[in-house]
Amino acid sequence: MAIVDLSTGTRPALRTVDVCVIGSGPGGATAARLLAERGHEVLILEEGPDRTGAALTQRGPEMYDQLYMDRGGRATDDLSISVLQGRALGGGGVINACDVVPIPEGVLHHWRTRFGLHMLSDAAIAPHAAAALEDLSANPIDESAVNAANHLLRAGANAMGWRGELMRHNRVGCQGLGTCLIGCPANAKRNPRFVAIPAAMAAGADVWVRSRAVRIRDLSAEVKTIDVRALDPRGYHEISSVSVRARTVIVAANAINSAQLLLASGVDSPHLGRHLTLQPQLPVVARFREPVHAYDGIPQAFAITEFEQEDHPEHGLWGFRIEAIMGTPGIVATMLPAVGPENPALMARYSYLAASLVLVPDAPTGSISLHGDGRPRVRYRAAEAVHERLREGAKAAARAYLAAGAEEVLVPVQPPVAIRSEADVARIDAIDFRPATAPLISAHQQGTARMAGNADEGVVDFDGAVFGTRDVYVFDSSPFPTSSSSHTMTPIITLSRFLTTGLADRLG
Amino acid sequence: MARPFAFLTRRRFLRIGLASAAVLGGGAVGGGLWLRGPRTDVDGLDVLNAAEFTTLTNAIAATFGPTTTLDTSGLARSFDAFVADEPAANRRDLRRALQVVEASPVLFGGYGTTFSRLTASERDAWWASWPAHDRLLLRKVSLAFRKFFNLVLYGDPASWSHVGYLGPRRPGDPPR
Repeated sequence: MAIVDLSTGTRPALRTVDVCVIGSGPGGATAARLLAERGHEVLILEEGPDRTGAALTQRGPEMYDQLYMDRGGRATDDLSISVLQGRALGGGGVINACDVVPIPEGVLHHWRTRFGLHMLSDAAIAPHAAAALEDLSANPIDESAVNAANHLLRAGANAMGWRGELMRHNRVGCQGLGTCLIGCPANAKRNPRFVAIPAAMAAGADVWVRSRAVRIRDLSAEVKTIDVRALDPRGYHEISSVSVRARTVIVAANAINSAQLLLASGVDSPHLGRHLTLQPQLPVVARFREPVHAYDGIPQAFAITEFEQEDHPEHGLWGFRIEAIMGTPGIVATMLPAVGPENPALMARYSYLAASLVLVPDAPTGSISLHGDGRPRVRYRAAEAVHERLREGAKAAARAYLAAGAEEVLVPVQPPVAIRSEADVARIDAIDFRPATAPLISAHQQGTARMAGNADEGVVDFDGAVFGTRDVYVFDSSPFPTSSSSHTMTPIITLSRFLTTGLADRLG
Repeated sequence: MARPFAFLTRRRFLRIGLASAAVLGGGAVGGGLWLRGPRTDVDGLDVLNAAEFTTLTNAIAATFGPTTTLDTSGLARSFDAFVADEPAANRRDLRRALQVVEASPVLFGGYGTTFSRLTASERDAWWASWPAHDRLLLRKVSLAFRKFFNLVLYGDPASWSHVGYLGPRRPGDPPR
């Protein structure tokens, strides 16, 4: 089986399969693989390109344009949060930081007790969680691979007496190129592109890239029709139409695009598009006297976990987490607050910078709706509980960096807050997070097709089937009732394996 | 495709404000032309007209200051090329965003003239006030433009020596 690029060459007008999987990220690729291995005829639709090896050029402007949704420009409607969402064969796995963090026990307990997801018992989930780790080739980050920036954050955490950890990751053969967030040309990420998708294809699955599913028709019929648009080679414009017919449709296009597709398809649920969590992250930047060269090596290895809570009685995952990070100069510059001569002056210190992200699990209060032209509108207003933890996290990050010897710590909000000593830390309390004043990002979109026991309380049932449809499923992070983990790749694979195994058993 | 400036289309008050300012500028048609800012001839643009290009160039200059180590000369054309690949609705939104920038000193700043006609120091100060401005509209327009300017400028290898970036190691390169 080959990967067919619909932007070039001959395009079929109609294709009929057993199973159409929409989205090739961790959820969709996993589902496609398991069903293909069970003998079903599977077609995977992916609107992004297939980019591996040298095609991952490590050039920021080009890669953000090609590997991220909306050319890297997706954001909440008030521009407060940049929504980083992969658009490539392999989905978010192509552009993520490779962190492997399973669903915490406390979150699963919360989902069972608070949301009735009793089928997610420890015994039921355990084999799928283990299989997910195997799929990812999960392994600890070796001490020799910890770069200076991560050492500094760890040194600061140790000085403060805070708990932290070197995370597990899904790299094999990593060469420390440092451009994980815009793709790895060494092909070292064991992401769906290199694991589940080849396995699915080996079992007979077909893959179409540059193919955008825009509507699912006949939702209650035995055979559904998916309207697909072929995109041009750069992915900017729709150039032709193709129809796919399938008995089973699995939607796994990310919490935003899955909701968009289901809304466009006429799925009628008061919960569809609601309960979005974005898990906002705030950068904190430290400047040191000596060069750090944080852009070399694994950007994200160490995390301060002291303040993270996995079993909050109301929210499950709560508190905050601080993780080292760094990007190429272009993306770093977009996060920094300087305008005018201060801009090049600050960027001239790029080699002396180390940075972290304060990651805050949030309550599911966001929503997805459709603009008149069908594009998704991401509406999200962070509660003060989120702002409070962002401030606390920024203060903790500042203290850690000061303890590690930073000359200055910058919280890059507008107006910016500079910290040079403990006496300055209290300035962070004045940050009000007015819309479009902080460089918040979201790398983990969840919710929007909530899983529940009945249609009054959710969009999909405990098998992941969309209420009111026949054999239309959602197997990505959309069904998650709350934030699942600090990093969603592993939970998505775990739940997709669980749900797909059940589906495969029922299909026979 | 994203419409980062789509919020401008929904801003009815903005259209009213732009029309009002045109009248204040001396007649609807003449005022409208005045409100668009001065025009210098520019060849080879894909989408922007000369006045819009001038506004954009001035916004870029105000974003980075009078730097002698960074070459921002190609940034406006990069933006023009970027927009050329956008759907028609996005291009309209961009034009409106540039109108906002050009008319903003009159509409929101209490100045008697448009963005490109301000003195350089006035323009720099006015543009620098946008990221933390009380008016959300200005914060959003500023944020959207600055993101593009910074990503493209510092993503250009020509800028890397300025920031001390040796460039990415390619597969097989020895460790540094």
